[in-house]
Order: sequence, then structure tokens, then C-alpha cells
Amino acid sequence: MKEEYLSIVERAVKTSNADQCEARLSGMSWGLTRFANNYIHQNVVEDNAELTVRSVFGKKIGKAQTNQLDPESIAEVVRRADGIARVQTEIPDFVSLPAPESIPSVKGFYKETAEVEPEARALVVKAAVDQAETLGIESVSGTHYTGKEEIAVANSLGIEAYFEGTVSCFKINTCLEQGTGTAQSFSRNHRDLNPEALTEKACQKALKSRKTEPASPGSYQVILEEQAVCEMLVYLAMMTFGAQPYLEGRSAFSGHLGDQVADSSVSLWDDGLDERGFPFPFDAEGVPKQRVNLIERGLAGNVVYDSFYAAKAGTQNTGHSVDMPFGAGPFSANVFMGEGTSSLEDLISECENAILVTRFHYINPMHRLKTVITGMTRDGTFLVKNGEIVRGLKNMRFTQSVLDALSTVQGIGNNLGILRMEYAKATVCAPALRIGEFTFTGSTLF
Amino acid sequence: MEDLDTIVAAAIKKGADYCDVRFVVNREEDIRVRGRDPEKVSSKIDQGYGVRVLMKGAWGFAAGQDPEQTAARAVKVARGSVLAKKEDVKLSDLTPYTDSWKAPIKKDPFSVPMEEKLSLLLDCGKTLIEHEDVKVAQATMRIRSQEKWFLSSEGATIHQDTTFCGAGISATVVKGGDMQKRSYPTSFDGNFSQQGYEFVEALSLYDHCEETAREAIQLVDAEPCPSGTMDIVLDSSQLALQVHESCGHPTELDRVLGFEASYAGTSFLTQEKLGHYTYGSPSVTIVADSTTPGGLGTFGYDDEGVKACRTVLVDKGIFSGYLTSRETAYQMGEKSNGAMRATDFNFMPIIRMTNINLMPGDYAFEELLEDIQEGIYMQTNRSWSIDDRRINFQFGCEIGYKITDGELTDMVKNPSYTALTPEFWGACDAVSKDWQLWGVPNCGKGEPSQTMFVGHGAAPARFRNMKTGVG
Repeated sequence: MKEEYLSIVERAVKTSNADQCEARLSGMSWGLTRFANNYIHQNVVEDNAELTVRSVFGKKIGKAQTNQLDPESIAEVVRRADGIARVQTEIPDFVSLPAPESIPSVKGFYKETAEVEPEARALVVKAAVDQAETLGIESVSGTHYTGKEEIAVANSLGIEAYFEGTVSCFKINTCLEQGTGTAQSFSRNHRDLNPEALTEKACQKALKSRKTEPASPGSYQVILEEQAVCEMLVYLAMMTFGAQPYLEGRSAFSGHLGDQVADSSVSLWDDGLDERGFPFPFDAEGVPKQRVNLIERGLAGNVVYDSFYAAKAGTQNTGHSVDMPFGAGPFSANVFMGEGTSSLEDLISECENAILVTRFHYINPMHRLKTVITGMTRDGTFLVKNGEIVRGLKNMRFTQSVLDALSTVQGIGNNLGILRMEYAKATVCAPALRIGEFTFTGSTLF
Repeated sequence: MEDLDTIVAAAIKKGADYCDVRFVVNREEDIRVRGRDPEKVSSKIDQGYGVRVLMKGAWGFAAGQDPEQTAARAVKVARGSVLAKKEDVKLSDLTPYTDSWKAPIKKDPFSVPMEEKLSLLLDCGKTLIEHEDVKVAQATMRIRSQEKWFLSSEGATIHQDTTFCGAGISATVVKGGDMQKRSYPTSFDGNFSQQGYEFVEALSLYDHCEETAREAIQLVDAEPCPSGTMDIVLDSSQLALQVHESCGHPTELDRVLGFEASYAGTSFLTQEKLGHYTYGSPSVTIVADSTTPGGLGTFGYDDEGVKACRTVLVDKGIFSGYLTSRETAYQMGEKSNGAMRATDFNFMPIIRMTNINLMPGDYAFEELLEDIQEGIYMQTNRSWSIDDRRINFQFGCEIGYKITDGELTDMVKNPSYTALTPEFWGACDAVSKDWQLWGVPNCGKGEPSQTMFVGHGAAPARFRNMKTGVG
């Protein structure tokens, strides 16, 4: 499909009468199987591709999209983008669309993953349900998806970029006598998912969390499993690591690059080429993704840029343009946190009185500049006493500054978990953490 | 419509017991101004087929551009579902309608010149950013139309044409290590309605710039919201989101039945509670109404062809109804009340909110305040979070005012409150008569994630002894 994708974006660019023009074709061909109450209740496949054209007249910019890819529709969407640009007012900080740079190659496509059929996904689900039922689990739910994404970008300055990658996920929730458990994995290669091990893990969680007791709100030592850390870091990335909030003074990094913002054991970076995540070699403008050190041994490192904000700040474009429905500027879509040397069992065994959190639910920012977020625990919250899990806890609400939490890191796990948000094409890979102070502000009834 | 007939016939021929198909054409404009400059001015047009089949009691869905190929793929997917089937999916009965429905609009927002729309937002952006302390000024407008054809193997043939639009402004101040934001008419890009451009004009965005900027600036120096237990009054836009999170989602029957257990979660409003559980005080009546004029959840028929209707969810405090689909209603021995909606052609319909409305009371706003000795009035949502059964929640608002001896007094920043849903609604002892309809175009649910547009009517209301100032 490479030739077809590139021919469409090149045709769009050539059709435009604008001073500069960019075309991006982003497609997805995938199948997603959802299961609940031990059967498949939603099972979908989708083929769709969207062509986005950005036309530039001087400093005036217009944008138009379509998912109709015949020559007439391509001409129409270009006319629409050109027309919008002509009636725009100038954007003084705009300099130019980006110029071409060499794009590194990265492996992100696995033929077998692209070709998984609905029947194969259904059999994976059936096996997981059978496995869980054998362990006495009452209710099993989750999602299994496989497929491929394609993107081509061209612009009138000579950018010509194409990437084809596969996507896959298996996540499972289990429920027994009000106890719930969860496990999930995401990979470009569906052979890496290991649904059997994930099902076993989720079942064991549910079995352990059947009987729960409430815990009082307050500040606790916590062990956050990989999924919980990934979920927390998504919000840190959103609030802190983009050039837009940074330049506008809305990021905790604004005016603080080089300052100590986390414990010296903490390092975070963005790397679109690391194959442990969801590698993607270029951004929405066709610019190669640079590795950016976000937090380096506890010090605020850098933020990520696209062409507009790099020109505005007079700095290097790091290749982090995204095309989201809202205007949030560049985004760190491939975040990694450096792993440590401890197993999860080690992290637990070194706690006298702590709370073990499997994952969070419904996180939302409370104060972005201070990186304060709130959310609930979910699917396995446990009290740890003298290095042992002693009982399940009712789920708790936390209200906590992420950077404050990262400033009290006491131990880092040796295994990287992964969280992929398909709608945002963003991935976070992070280890489990033992954190000295974490504030719970409430609890719920289950 | 002929090709839709062909799709349905092809799916049935390939073994489907039931098939419905939607052909959807969307048109959208998104205009965003940041400070003095345009940030994004875009136009989107897309279309496609979504085919849903039920075969041997199991679902299959496919979306694409080629009608026959899409139908064949839907059947193939259903064959996969059959492999992991426990029991046959059954659908509640339905009258198959042949009809056409169009939401009334006066002034087509797409016909208003782009220059005019952009000029309005630029004027707002410039006015907001001229205030020295305002670091970020935003003015946004979004317009969307959706034309949809629906055909089913049961004989339904429905055409619908809807348009919504809306706009908003906001000012963000960053100063002295603090950051405060104020929005008009509400946060997250303003308010939206299934009306024409007359709705945007009536918002009078420009006239509210000065007040919006001034409040954002004042907030930085305001006292923090006091922590404690006190009476609170919430404005209607905050209550709209409160209704959304603590009543709309937990009354979705698919959640109750566990369909969303692995993702969005389930619900505390389990089936045995229907008809007698005390959800709130007698002041609280909440309805699902897909016929509310101007609501973002208003339509002629849902995406199963069920006619729009009104359902009481909470009747004077008693939990009394769910949002249902044909599949889930069958499990209750009832007929669907028409809440199956898909964001676009490429999504399988799932149960979504329509317009979930808190019904107005008899109180004037001043009467809500008058017997409060010490309390907080909170306006405009800033943050929301609720557990996966929709019990424990915490909301933050943009701005608050102390209520002292029945009067609004000092401004407070970072107002927030937290409670358990039944306790919260149980503590509601007065609802104002100042009812307003809010459009929420960003409700997320399902996998793949679907962003739905829903409506909420609400009026300011009073809640006794709430925990405030958390976090």
C-alpha cells in the first residue's frame, strides 16, 4: 500500500495552488473483539483512511479533511483547504512547513498481526474465558484487537514519509464475589501479548481481592504496579512535557528546566524509535522523531516541539507534532521511564505499612501547573504489612501531585509495563514504583 | 437507499438473521483562536457504511466504503463471535418505521462566511489577551452536521439530518506559581445546541470577554476554597456534568449488565434496585429525553430505529429507569427506550445518553442561598472523576464564592467537593427554576472509543453538608 498512500498525498500536494502545502493520509484497518459476561458482545472491523490537507498562503493556513480518496475528492479537499487559508488572517509566529530530513527505519510491522482474522481473535477470547472459568471466576470481560495502521506525509518542500505498523492488545478483567482483577498488554506484534499469562494474572488478582476492608484516607507509602504508573505518567505528559504549556508558563517545567523535579533515581524520556514501545519514526508533519530527555536523574530535561513551536521558541524541532481534535500543541507520544533492579515482590517485601495499587481509574487534573491529579484505584488494591500482602482494600480516591510523588520514589521495578491509547496513538512504558508519600483523600463502597 | 437495500439483502443471503446498515455523511468545521491569532481553522467531510448483523445469536459489525464488501465482512465477524457464544443474543420487539426527521435550524451555520465566524473569535481573543495577566486566551467554535440513512432487515427505512453548533471563550492567568482559568459560557469549549448559527449569536461571546478575563485575574489572588463540611450551591453547568457522571452513566443498562466492566466500569444501580431504591431526595427528578428541543441528544430515532422518547430515570428521588437498547431491554423483559447511538458510520452503536435532564424546582436562585449561614457557591466545571461503579466522585470548579448568612461574599479559588452519589443527591433539598440546557460534545465511552454528543438540562441546586476543599 506504500505506493498508493504516497501517490495520494503527492497528488494532493501537487494539486494545491498554495505557497506551501502538506498532505497526510492516515489509515487504520483493524478488528476489535470485546467480551463481557464470558461471551463476545461487540465484534467490529473497520477500514478507514483520512486525508488531511494543510494549505499555506504566506502566513495564512487552512486545513481540510476527507475520507474519500478518488481524484475528484482529493481535488475537492485541496480546494477546501486552499479556500480556508485564503480567508484566514495571518499567524505571525508561523515560519514555514518543515523541510525534509532523513527518516530512520524502525520495525513496527508484523505481517501475521495485520492478518489476524475475527475467528482467531474469538478463539483467543474463548480460551481466556475457559481458563478463567476453570479457576472459578464468575465474570470475564476485556478487549482483544489486532490490525494495522498506515500513514503517509508529503509536503511541497519535499517531505515524503511513509510508515506501516501493526497494533495489538489483549486486556482482561475478572470478577469473583465482588473481587476484581485485571491484566493487559499492547504490542506491535500480537505474538508478544501472551493472553494465557495475562488471564492467569487477572484471575489471581480477583481471587485475592474478594474480601476487602476500608482504609482511612491519608498519606501512605504505596507500591504502584506498572499499569498504575503508566496511567499517572499519561497525565504528567499531557500537563507538562509539551512546548505549548511550557512556553505559555502552564507547565511545571516552565522556568524550571534543569531544576530538581523528581527523585534522582527517576529518568523519563520520549523515544519514537524504541521497539519496546510502539515505534513510529516520524510525526504528523513527517519530521523524524528525536529522543528527548524529559526528566534526567530527577532534573527537568526538555520539552517536545513541533515545527510551529520550535520556530516560535527559536529551538530545534524534536518531531512531536500530533493532529488531535483539540489544539494542545506537540505531545510526547512515546514516553519511557527507566526501569530499576527490583522485582515487584522486592518492592512489596521492603514495605512496613503500605498500599499496593494495581491500576487507577478516571484520572483527571485538578491543578495542571502543580501536576495535581485525582482518580480512583481499581481492580486490586491491597494492604501491605511487613512486606506481605495481608488483605484487599476497598478502592480509594487519591489527590496527588505527580511530581511530588516522583520526588519520593524509593524503589523502581525491573519490568516495563506498557499502556497504549489507540485513539491518540500514544504509548507509555514504565516500571512499578515504590513511593514514600502518596495522598488518598477518600474511599468508596467496594 | 437502493445500495442499502442491496447490503441488507447480501448480508441475509450470507446467513445473517438480522441486519441493519447506516450510511452516514458528516460535515464539520472547527475554528480555534489562541490569543490574537488563529490556531486551527479546519473543515472535515467524511462518509461511510456501518453494517451490523446478528447471526446465530451473535453480533458482527463492519465499517468501510465498499457496501458489499462491508456487508460480507460483518457476516464474517459474526461467524467469529459465534465461536465464543454462550447464549443467543435476542432483541426486543420494535415497530419498523419509514420516516424522515430533520432538526429545525434557523440559520445554517455552514452558510455563515468563514471570515465572519473567525472575526468573532479573533475579536474575543484580542480582547481577552489584552489583559496583561492573561497568558492564554482561547475562543473556539465547532459546527457539525450529520445526515444518516438507516435500513434494517425488519423493514425500517429512516433518514435523519441533524446539525449542532456552539462556541466558547476562556482566559488563563499564570502568576506567582498559580494558574487559574475562567470560561464562558462553560468550560471545555463552551456550550452547544442543535440549533443554527442563531445559537452562537445568542451567546454574545464578545460581551462576556471582560468579565471572563477579570474573574480569571481575580482568582489568582483569591483565597483557596475552605476545607470542611458545609452547604454548597452548584450552578447549572456544573450540575449538568454532575448529572452526566452520577446519573447518566450509571443508568446505562449495558454498564449495569457488565458490558463495560473491563473499561468504563459497571454501575451501582443494579437491577434489583429499580423502582424502589432511594437515589436522592424528593427534590430530585431526572429524565432521559431524546425529544428535548435543541438538545445534543435529540433525534427522531436511535441507531436501532427506535423512536425518540422520554424516560424517567429518577422520580422524586426514587431510581425508576434505565437507558436501554433492544438487546438489554429484552433481558429486562421490556422494549428499548431508544438509547443506542454510534458516533459515526465506523462505530457499532452502544447505549449512550440522550438528553439527561435534572428537572427544575420552584426556587429562585436567591432563595437557594437565603438560609445558608456558611457555604460555597461553585460555578463551571474544571475537573471530574468518579469511580468505576459511579459512587465516589470528586469535582473541581473554576470559581467559587463564599455564602455567608444567605449572601454571596468573597471569591474563592480551586473550589471542589467530594461525596458518594446517593448521599450527594440525598442532600439536595432545593432546585432552582432557572433551568438551562447544556450541550456536551465530548462524552467518551466504549472500545474503540466513541466520543458522543449529549445534552443535559439543569438548574442551580442546593446540597447540605458537603465535603469541600479536597486537594
